[in-house]
Amino acid sequence: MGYAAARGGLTAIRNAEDLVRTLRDMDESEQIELDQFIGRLRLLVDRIMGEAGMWEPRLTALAIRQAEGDHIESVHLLRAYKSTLPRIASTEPIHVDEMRLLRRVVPAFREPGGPQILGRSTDYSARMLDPRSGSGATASLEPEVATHVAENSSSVQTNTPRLMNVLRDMDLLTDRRRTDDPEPFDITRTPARPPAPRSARLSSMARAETGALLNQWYRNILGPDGYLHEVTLGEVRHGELPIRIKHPYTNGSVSIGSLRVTEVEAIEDLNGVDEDRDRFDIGYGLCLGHNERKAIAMANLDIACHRDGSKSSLEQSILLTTDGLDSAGFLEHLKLPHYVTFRSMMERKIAVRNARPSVQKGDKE
Amino acid sequence: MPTNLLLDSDIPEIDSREGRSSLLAQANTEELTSLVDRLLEEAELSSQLRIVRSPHTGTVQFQVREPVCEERFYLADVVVTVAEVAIGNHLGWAMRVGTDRRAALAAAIADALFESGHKEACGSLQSLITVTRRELIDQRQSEWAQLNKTIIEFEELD
Repeated sequence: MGYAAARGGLTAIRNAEDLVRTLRDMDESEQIELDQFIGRLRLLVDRIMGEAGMWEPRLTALAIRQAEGDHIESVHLLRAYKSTLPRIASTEPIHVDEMRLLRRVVPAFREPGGPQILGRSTDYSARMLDPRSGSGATASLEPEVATHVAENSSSVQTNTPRLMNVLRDMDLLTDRRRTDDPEPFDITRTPARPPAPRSARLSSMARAETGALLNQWYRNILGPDGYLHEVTLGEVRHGELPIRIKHPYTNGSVSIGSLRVTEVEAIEDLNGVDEDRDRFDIGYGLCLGHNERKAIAMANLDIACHRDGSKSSLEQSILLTTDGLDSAGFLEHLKLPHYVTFRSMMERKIAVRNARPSVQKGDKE
Repeated sequence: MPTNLLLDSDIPEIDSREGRSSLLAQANTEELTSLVDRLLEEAELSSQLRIVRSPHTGTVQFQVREPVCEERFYLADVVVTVAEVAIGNHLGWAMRVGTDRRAALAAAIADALFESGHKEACGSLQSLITVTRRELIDQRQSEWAQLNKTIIEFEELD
């Protein structure tokens, strides 16, 4: 593929950009405040932060407003902004067991140990448009008391084992725990290419476009690829993790705040000839914010990649085609002038035709 | 390896420098900046204040350890603003999530004031971080009161 630069029309380009700004900002409706995005469009903000690979709700709200709600464009604005910032430090490694739970459901076990907390969810409700939504008329300050009331929050948080650990205790889980603690792969510095370390796959999927990851999952479970089967979810969790860094003078831990994540464990029934058929294995998904679809797809694809062992194109497909900015950027560049490229293609066609003495002009072979 | 820590166990304590830095990082922006402005003015410390590293925004790489293979990976970047100051010979440092440079500078000055041992300043700042700590606990308790009502026990049908 060849490209040639084009120039000209700077005034028209500026006017077009100005038209976007003017029609957006001078709309008759009230300007949407950034806090409204964060408070009322929480899931959109969360999704975009995840796909941008950057936690900052206020800037994300700004990006959504500037991009007129186009989520890929919002991700583009945030990644562009992030690329201008210096990287100051890395956090201390935060073990996900430190999560402060806001939601926990265990589809595999009715009594998994510790409570199942629905939290903020409409999973079990009928989907009906409600004209009153957002007006405050539907808010209830006193939700009905549930059938089970935990004694106190501390006891819940201490008595909530992972289903994974329950399976380990029953010797029903292959043990893949490592002791060598390799440095994580940094996909923001080096593009991940197969075969990649698992840390690269996890980072790539954590900031993949949600729809792309969901599509990968679906074509693997019901579509032509077929690297996934027997899907059972162990845990689906949403909660907060602390952001801890080292104090530069004392080397002690400083918790500068927290961020929210969604975490999923996917149980895999091992049935391969060279696999331990007496046990299960687990796939893992973790992404920024509250985005359960993405974390579920990620967990399933994590174990699928592990079982596949880079034998198929699955890993390549995940690493190279699920980034929203990559795919949308490539697609959208097609709108830019390709005059020279296309003229050269036409000229080649004509040259080929002219080089065939036996074919008369206008004849078809 | 920590396993499901107590709900409030990671709320910072106020009696260590790290705990104070944690609470200054999470203190209400307006209350923090107006208090520090007032303390600098009343204690006539402005002349001793030196900016070591002016507040600047950057990212910290958030790394997690997952439970299947106990491997680390980078989840995302967090936008933070960091500042470093000195009051006399006492260094102050702060990092806050977000892009508010004024708040990061105020937190760094507050850290230096704590280190300087200035009696009145320390008293006022101690009150601020005590309130911040109380608010964090209250917020979690209020959150839990709502979550608690969504605990579910499914029944299997025969």
